[in-house]
Amino acid sequence: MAATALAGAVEAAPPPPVYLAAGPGADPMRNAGYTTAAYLLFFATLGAVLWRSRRRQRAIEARLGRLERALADAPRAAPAAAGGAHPLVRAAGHD
Amino acid sequence: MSAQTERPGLGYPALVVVAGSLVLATIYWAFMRAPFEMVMGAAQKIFYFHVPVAYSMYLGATACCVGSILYLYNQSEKGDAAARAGAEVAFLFGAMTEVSGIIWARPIWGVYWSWEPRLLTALLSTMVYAAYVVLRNFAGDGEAERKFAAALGVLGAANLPIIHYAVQKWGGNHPAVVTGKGGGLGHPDMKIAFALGMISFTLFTASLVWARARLHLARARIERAEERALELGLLGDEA
Repeated sequence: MAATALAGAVEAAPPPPVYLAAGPGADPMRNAGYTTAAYLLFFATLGAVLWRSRRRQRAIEARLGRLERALADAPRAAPAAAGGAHPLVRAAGHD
Repeated sequence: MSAQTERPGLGYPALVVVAGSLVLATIYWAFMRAPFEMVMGAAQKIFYFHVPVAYSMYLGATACCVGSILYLYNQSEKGDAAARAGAEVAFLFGAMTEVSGIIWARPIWGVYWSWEPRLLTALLSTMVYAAYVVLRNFAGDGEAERKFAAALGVLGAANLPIIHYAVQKWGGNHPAVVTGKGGGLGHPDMKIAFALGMISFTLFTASLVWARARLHLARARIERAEERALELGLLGDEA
């Protein structure tokens, strides 16, 4: 719904006027390539940082959750010698 | 120690949604409503993000400084996490400021780079926070490293007012956008786009610092949990 409203607003908006009177032959769209490059680079970088940060956050929270649960259960857990890695070793991601 | 990781409340997602919506509104206003500036043409529209991002670098650096002071005062884990998050955000936005400024400078000044005071001092700050990030990522996470980084975080903030006043004190080519001398913000829609950019990036910076600080706090808890497991003899030497 918000997207539809935004699309409607974009369609309804008049073309941006040229601010002040440009000289004869002046092109308001000059340098548009630089602007496009700046914005694309800008949002690509932001997107990559946000995506990577979110992915790392999830991985760390999952690892922390496993570790803390295993630590809470540690007194009840069997020693590592009983076979296979101790649950804490697995939880910490060292196995 | 809790058995569950702390779950974020509604505050963080709400902040991200509001900040993201305002960033979209800024793009809309900058490209659909704000007119083209007479002298610079489309390149002037870089200002609607270049300036808020530079301001965001100040915010990140301020978070780094405040967190560093807190850490030096009481060795607060939260202070250290805030300082580290602030430095990362300051580095990210500092680098973005430099790159967007370089792209703007090429068509307007005819060169990508000019050794003028504001560019130089801003580059210096970006390098200080790059050093902080490198130090924290590659020099270990002991108390000595944390204290050294905290000192860097406090001293690094000293350059912020120098960046701000560099144009007034030493001249140079850099336009003073907000005061209207060469920045091209004479039209009301230009001012609205600029204000939206400043508000959206303030919120966006807050959400980024928040997210990164949570990440560092979670890492610190993992280290404490592993240390406790080692003390209990539950993790072998391989930990």
